[in-house]
Amino acid sequence: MTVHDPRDVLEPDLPCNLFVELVTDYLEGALPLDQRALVDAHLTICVGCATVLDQWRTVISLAGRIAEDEVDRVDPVVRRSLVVAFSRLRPA
Amino acid sequence: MGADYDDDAVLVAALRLGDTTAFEWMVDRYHGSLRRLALNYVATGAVADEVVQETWLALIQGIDRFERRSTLKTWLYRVLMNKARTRGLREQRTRPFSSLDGDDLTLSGFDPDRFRPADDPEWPGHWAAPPTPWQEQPDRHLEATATLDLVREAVAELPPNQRQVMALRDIDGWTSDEVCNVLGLSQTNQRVLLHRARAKVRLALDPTLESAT
Repeated sequence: MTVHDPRDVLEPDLPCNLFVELVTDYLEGALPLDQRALVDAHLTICVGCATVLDQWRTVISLAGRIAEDEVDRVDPVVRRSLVVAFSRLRPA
Repeated sequence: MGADYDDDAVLVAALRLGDTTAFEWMVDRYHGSLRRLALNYVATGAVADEVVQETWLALIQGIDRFERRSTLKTWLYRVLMNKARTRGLREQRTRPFSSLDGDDLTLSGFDPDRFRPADDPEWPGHWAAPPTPWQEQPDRHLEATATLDLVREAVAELPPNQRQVMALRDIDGWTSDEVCNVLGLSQTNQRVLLHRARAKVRLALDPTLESAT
């Protein structure tokens, strides 16, 4: 971002304060193609916004691990009583 | 190795035949998530447990009448939300106004001061104070658990509608179509809620994870 290339004027860069509002739309593939291209181009030159994107991805992947963490935690007593109710009400 | 319960036709048929394995598969898969969703509407974990239990009973008793106009999963979550809403109203539970939404300064959770002003001669709207990259994810189990606890707390403090969307999308891994369907949201609205939610969770993690090694 130090050298001013004349082409920058022809292809205006996406402002960072707009990118931070678009991160989720970008990750969801919900941006129109032209905007997506602007974001892609911006991310190649802007370390700050690349960091934001990384952090967004980290948040998503950490959230996903909560569910894995909880799979083992269905209270065994509750689980057992539900299965008993099922067997009683719907005998095989 | 058993039947492919991911196939709704297989699952519904198995449940109708009283296949306990199919029911256990559902409980293991959805119980925690149903309970999380119920907690959006009712005051205590005990009531949430009751609501989830009633929902399972509704499934057991209603599976014969299930017409597969939606997936069984969607149907199950709709039943839960109806029951939880009813219970929540009966308990007259209202959340404090401040948590109802519309409380956000910006969608993204970044202070406007962190960007250069619009009349900046060189880089209007670009970073004045860029974010600090987070440290690599800690491998050690204890630290990883602490980080997950932070995420859990941050999600718990979100306004209810943001919490629901983020819990279903990012914790339970639902598609946006499924979430819109069950919660009755437009795609746009769903993305806005999701973005706000992730932004707040990011903000909550930032002080801990940015601390350089």
